[in-house]
Amino acid sequence: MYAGFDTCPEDAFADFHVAVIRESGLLNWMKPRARFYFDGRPSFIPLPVSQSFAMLEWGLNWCVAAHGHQYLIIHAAVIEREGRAAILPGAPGAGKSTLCAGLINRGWRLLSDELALLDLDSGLVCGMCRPVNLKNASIDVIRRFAPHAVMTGPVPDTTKGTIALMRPPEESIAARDAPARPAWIIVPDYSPEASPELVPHDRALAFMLLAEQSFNYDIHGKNGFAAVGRLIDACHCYRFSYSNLEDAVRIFDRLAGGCE
Amino acid sequence: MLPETKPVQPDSSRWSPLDPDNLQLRSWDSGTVVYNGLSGDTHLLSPLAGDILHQLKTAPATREQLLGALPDHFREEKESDEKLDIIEIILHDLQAIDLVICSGRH
Repeated sequence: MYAGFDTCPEDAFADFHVAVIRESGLLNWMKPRARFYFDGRPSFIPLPVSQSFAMLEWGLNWCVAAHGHQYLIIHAAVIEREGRAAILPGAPGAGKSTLCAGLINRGWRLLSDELALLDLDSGLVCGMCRPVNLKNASIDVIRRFAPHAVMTGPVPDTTKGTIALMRPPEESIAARDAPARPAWIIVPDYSPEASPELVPHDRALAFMLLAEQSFNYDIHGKNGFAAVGRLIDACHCYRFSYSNLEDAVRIFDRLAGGCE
Repeated sequence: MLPETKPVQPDSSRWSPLDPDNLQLRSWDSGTVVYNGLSGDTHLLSPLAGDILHQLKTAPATREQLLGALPDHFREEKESDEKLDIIEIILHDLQAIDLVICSGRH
């Protein structure tokens, strides 16, 4: 999953020191389990060894969401085209990871499938390009849509159902340090029978959604309020209903081309 | 016999923000969001409620003064009492979430 990423020397500075380590003991010999370690301390409950990759990703997301308070952190996927970022906020099940995974296989750059990191000073969104977490039906959807994508095998019976990770495209990995200027806030709404529809979204409601989906809006207080307000002002806000990724690619490409 | 009518009592209650320096507002056509620095809460307000709060940040006001300052929110055919009732309901809603206070009621 991390082929294409650099590795750093053992003594280099790191914000977080994490590990996933197999548990010892008779019980763990019979049912092998592993645990996530944060700065040398065991964190969270142990999970079956088969879920280790997912546990590493979930643990890394927690590290950033719980500590990266130099950013306003919003639960949202972020993709970019020609320097302009689309922020895709939404509750679990809204289809943001599927949409994100589909679009990054068709020319959009991945900044994150899970966390939008908004720099309060510059107003730019910073990248955190890492494997994309796919769940349940999304796994086969992406397999069919992007057969060349590198994915782990499906891991059943996790707390989120069956999950698989997808490696980001090489272009996204190479540009992972480049921030992007937010241009669109698009609230996805996947429904199996939905016709593709991109419609303007109420800005005040979009503000409240971003505030609710932020992990640290409360910590930033009035600066967080001001930052979300600036973000709303800087972006076109839409709701996007879809059931088919080919439709999504067509509509997002028109959007990037200035046709909406 | 004429129906019994109740004389309209002018209400001298004055409304003002609980702490104007700790209120931040952002408005769009669809509504206003307000951050209350005292509580840390963010609220979504209707366009009229947002404009009432904006107006009160400028200066404390009675509901009659608010009606005079915000005529565009009301259809002409509505009775004045009806308009004042709407403003009063909104003021009490804003009071319930600790954004405004009322003083000077007789």
